[in-house]
Amino acid sequence: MVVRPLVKSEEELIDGIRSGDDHVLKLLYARCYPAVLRLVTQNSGTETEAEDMFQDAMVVLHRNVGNGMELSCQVKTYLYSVSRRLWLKELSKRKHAVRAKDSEMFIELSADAQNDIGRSEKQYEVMSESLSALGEPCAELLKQFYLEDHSMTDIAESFGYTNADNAKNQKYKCLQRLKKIFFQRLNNSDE
Amino acid sequence: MNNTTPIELIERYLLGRMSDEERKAFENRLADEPLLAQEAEEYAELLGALKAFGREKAFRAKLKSIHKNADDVRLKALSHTRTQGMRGLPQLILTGAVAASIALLVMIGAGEWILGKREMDPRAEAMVREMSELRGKVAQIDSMLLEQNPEIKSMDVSFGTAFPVASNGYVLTSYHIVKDAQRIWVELPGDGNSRFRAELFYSDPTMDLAVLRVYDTNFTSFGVLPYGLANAPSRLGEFVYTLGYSKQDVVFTEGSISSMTGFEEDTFAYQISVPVNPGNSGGPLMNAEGQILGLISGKHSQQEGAAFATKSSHILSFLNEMKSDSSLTDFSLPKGQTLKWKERPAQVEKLQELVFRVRVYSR
Repeated sequence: MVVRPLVKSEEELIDGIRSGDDHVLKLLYARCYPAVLRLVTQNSGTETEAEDMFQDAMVVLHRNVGNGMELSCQVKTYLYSVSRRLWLKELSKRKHAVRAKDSEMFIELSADAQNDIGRSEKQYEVMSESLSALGEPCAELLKQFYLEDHSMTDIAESFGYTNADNAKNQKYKCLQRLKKIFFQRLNNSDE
Repeated sequence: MNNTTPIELIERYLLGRMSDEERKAFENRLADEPLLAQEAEEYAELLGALKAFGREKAFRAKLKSIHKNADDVRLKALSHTRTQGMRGLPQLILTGAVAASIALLVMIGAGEWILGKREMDPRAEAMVREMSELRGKVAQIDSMLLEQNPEIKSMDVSFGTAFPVASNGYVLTSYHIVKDAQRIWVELPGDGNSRFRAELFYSDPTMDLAVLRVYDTNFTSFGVLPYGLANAPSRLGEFVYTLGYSKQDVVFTEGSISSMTGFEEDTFAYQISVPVNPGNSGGPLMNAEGQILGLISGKHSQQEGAAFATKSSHILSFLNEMKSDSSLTDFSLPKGQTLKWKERPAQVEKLQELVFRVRVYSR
C-alpha cells in the first residue's frame, strides 16, 4: 500500500482527527510517526513501544480536539511533543535516564496538560475494567444504548425482553451498578 | 400520574431529551436539591467517561488497523534512523488551555431528596413481616428485651431473615428489611442465648442487599460456616429450598428455579417456585448440595408461585465491594462444603443454627 501524503491545511487535519477520517489518519501516520519511531528507538525503546506512544498521542489529540482545545502549534509538533512526554514518563518509570535525544522541534507540555492526559487515561482504564466487572448482559446493554444509540425497543428484542419497559428498568439498574463500580475503582486508584 | 424516577429524569436531562419547559423545571429542582444535583453530576461524569471510552476504543481500533497497513511508513522511518543526528532545538511552552471534558452542574440551595430511594413496584412485594397488630403480644414475649431497652416500647417491630457470611459476625439480609431500623437484633427463636444486637454495616439499595454486623458482648463466633456462595449460575429446574421466618418459628419451603431472570426479566435475580411469605425476605436460597444460590428478595403479588431471589454472583460482587470499600481485613467469603454429603433433614438441622430471624424496631 502506498500512502500518498496529500497536502492538507492544519484545520483539515484537526477536523479529520475529530471525525476519525481514515485518509487524514494515514496522512498523519506517514508524516509524524517516523520522528516518534526515531525518538523511541534511539532512546532505549522498541518499535512496538514507539507505536504505542504514537497511538496514545493520537488518542490524546483526538480527545482534546473533540473537547474543543485549540492547538498552539502544528499538529506534527504536538504529536511529537506528546509522544515524547509519554515516552520520557515511561523511561522515568523504568528508572532510566530521562534525557531524550531529539531530532525534532517540540514543545514542553504544561503541568495541567500532563495531568489532563493522565486523568483521561486513568478514566479510560477504569471504565474498561468497570465494564468487565459489571459483566453481561449489563455491559453490552449499556454499550448498545449509550454508545451505539440503539432504541430500547431494538434492545428489548435483541436481548429477549418482553417489552421495552423491562429492558429500560434493567438498563437503569445496570447503570446504577456501573456508577457504583466506576467511582469505587476511580477513588481507590487515587489512593 | 408521574412515575418518573430521578435516574430517568437525570438521564433525559443529560442526553438532552427534555423539552425546554421540562429542562427549566428540572434545572430549578437541581438548584433546590443538592443531593439530586450531586447525583446528576455523578451521572454526568459517568456518562462522559462511558462515551469517551466508546469513542476512544473505536479510534484506537482504527489506528491499529492503519498501522497494520502501513509497513511502507515503518520502513521509510527506519531508513532515516541512522542518518539523523541529535540537534539542539528550541523549546516552546504550550499555552493552549485544555477544555474540561464535562460541563459540571451548579449546586445551590437545600433539599431533602434521598439518594437511591426508589419506590418499589407494588407488584413486587417486599416481604417484611409487619407486626404492629401483634406488638403487644411480642412485647410480652420479649419483656426482658423491653426491660433492657425501654426506648423500643414506642417503636414498630418487623421481622425478616438473615444468615452469616463470615463466622466473625457479618450477617447478610435484604436492605428493605433494615432500611428504617433504629434497633436491630438477630436471634434464633427459642434460644435465649442466641440473640445478638446488630447494626447496619454496609448496604446497596439498588441490589436490595445489606450486611449487618453483630456487636453484642455475648457474641463470640458463628463457628465454621458449612456453606459457600455458589460461583456458577444455577440451572433451570434445579431443586432449591429456603428457611425463613414467615411465622414465629422457622419454616422450610422448597421448589425449583423456574426462570433465570426475576421480576420483569431482571437479570440480577432468579424466579423460583418456592412458597414464600412476609418474613422470608433475606433468607438463603439453597441447592441440594447445600450451597447458597441466592437470597430471597420478594414475590409477585399478582402471580401465584412466583418468588424472586438475588443471584449469588451478585451477592459475591456486593460482598467484595464491601470488603474493599471498608478496607476489611477480618472478612473472608464463606467457602464451606460440609453440607454437601448430608441428607436434606441433616442439612436443614445444621442450617437452623445459622438462619436467623432479624428483629427490627423502627419509628
